[in-house]
Amino acid sequence: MTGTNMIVQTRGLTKQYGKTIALDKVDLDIPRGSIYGLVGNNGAGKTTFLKILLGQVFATSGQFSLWEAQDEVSQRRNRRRCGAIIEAPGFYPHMTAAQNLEYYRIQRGIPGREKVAEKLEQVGLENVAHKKFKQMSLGMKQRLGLGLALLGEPEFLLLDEPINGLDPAGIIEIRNLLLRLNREKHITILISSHNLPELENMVTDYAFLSRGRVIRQIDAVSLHEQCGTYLEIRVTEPERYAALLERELHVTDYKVMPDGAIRVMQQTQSTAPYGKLAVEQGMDLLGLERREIQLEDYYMHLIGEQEGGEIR
Amino acid sequence: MTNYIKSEFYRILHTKGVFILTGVCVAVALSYVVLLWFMVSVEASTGGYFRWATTKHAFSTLEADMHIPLYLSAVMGSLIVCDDLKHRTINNSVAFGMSREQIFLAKVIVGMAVSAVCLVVTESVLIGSGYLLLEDSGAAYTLSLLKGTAACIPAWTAGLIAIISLCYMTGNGSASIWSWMLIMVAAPAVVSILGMKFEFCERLASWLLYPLISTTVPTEEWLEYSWSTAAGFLKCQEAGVIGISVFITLGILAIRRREL
Repeated sequence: MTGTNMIVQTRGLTKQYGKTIALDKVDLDIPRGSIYGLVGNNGAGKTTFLKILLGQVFATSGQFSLWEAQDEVSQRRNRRRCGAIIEAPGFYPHMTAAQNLEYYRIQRGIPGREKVAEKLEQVGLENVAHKKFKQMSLGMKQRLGLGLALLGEPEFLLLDEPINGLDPAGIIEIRNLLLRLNREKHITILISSHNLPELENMVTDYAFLSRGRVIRQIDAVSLHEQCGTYLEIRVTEPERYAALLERELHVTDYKVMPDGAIRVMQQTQSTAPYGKLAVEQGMDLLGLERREIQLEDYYMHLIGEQEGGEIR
Repeated sequence: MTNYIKSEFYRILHTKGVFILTGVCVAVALSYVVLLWFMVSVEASTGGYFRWATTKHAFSTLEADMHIPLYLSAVMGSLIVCDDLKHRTINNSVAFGMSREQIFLAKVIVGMAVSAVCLVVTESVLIGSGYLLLEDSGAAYTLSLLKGTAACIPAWTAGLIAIISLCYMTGNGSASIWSWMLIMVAAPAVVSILGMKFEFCERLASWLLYPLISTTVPTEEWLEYSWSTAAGFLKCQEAGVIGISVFITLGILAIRRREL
């Protein structure tokens, strides 16, 4: 594996728990300076992927490099340049927010006790520094986790669902903080989330995961181009209309939604033939609308493709 | 590893668990001496003489029950390690690039240091209060207690390392305690019983830590322990060192394989 511009490269990374395949031959390249979004449903393998990078679980097969380091000792050394929140942040419940960060500051050999107060302020917890962890709200715990991730001035942040439990103002605040860290300090951020609209506002590169597999890796610009628009058609007989779409208009990239709407994804012709087709076949045309594809739609479309036409 | 050890001491100083355990040990030792002292005045008020209020009796009570600190080592070890797995703080250390072996060894060092402080404080309180409040039976009994302590330290250390290893093997506080009881207490007890019938089991039991440090034989003079002879003392040390080596090896293997 080569590529000096990549912080992480994985090749054939596989993780199996008994008969369950959590990650299936994952090949990913995470460029320096990017905000890399890992998108997937629960059980897609996002957390397992992050845990392997951080040495918390071991890959069954395949390999990965962290700043080009492929052996365990060098990878471990390079992890000192990382900051991470994986799952719920792990802290001692009977210690305060400040004591918990101080514990890790000492453990990591970070000089200067003032760092703790600085990080608490950075994540908006300066007023609850002396509150015990067990008494903190979910959002506060999440912020403290981010404070810990930022404690060692990391070059690479790995964040697993970092906005879980945050209120809307908190989400905006943390998003702005991450954007600022990326732009001003050039910190590479790998962020997993199923809050797709939130990712849309910050991510520069995406990897879509489903059932342990990477189903697409794409940068935000290309994704935006691909998302474009789609045509939503509502007719009285959607199943028959779908069959006619393929036969008469040779359209293959479409989905029949659970509510009966038909989405034509990469529409190359004007809307007229679609309406005409319904009318000619004696169906009532209930709606014909051009819509913008959101990230969520794109993801659902990919999942549909992956699951072999279960939606189509 | 030094930083990890420092951070563990910081944590211990800012949480109550170890202080409560040490406090309980000190309170029990002190209460026992105070109770003996109190009984003197109770007996005196009825014209009697309470013959047990001596340093000989007070110190020998602990010396005859050297398996009690073994149990305490298990509690101490679980206080130091199990919280890390329960609250997943070990994940943060591993994610930061700490080697798993270093984490294990640091935990062992911290556990030994904290247990040593707990032991020194408790025995100091027992001996100090004994000399202050009870009839002095002579230095021989104090020296005997100190010799017994020295003989049992390797066994207690092995008990501490065993619980730390079991925490990493089972990943669960209560499961590790139960496994510890099985390995350190129940299995040796079974081997000892079988030793009454089979010679091999008898020889094996004589090397197992629990029977080794809890065997007390009454003699005409007082009590005889496994470590009373020079050979017995050496055997306690050797068995303890073997236990330490075995449990360190198992612990390192367990933490290396543990998925977090």
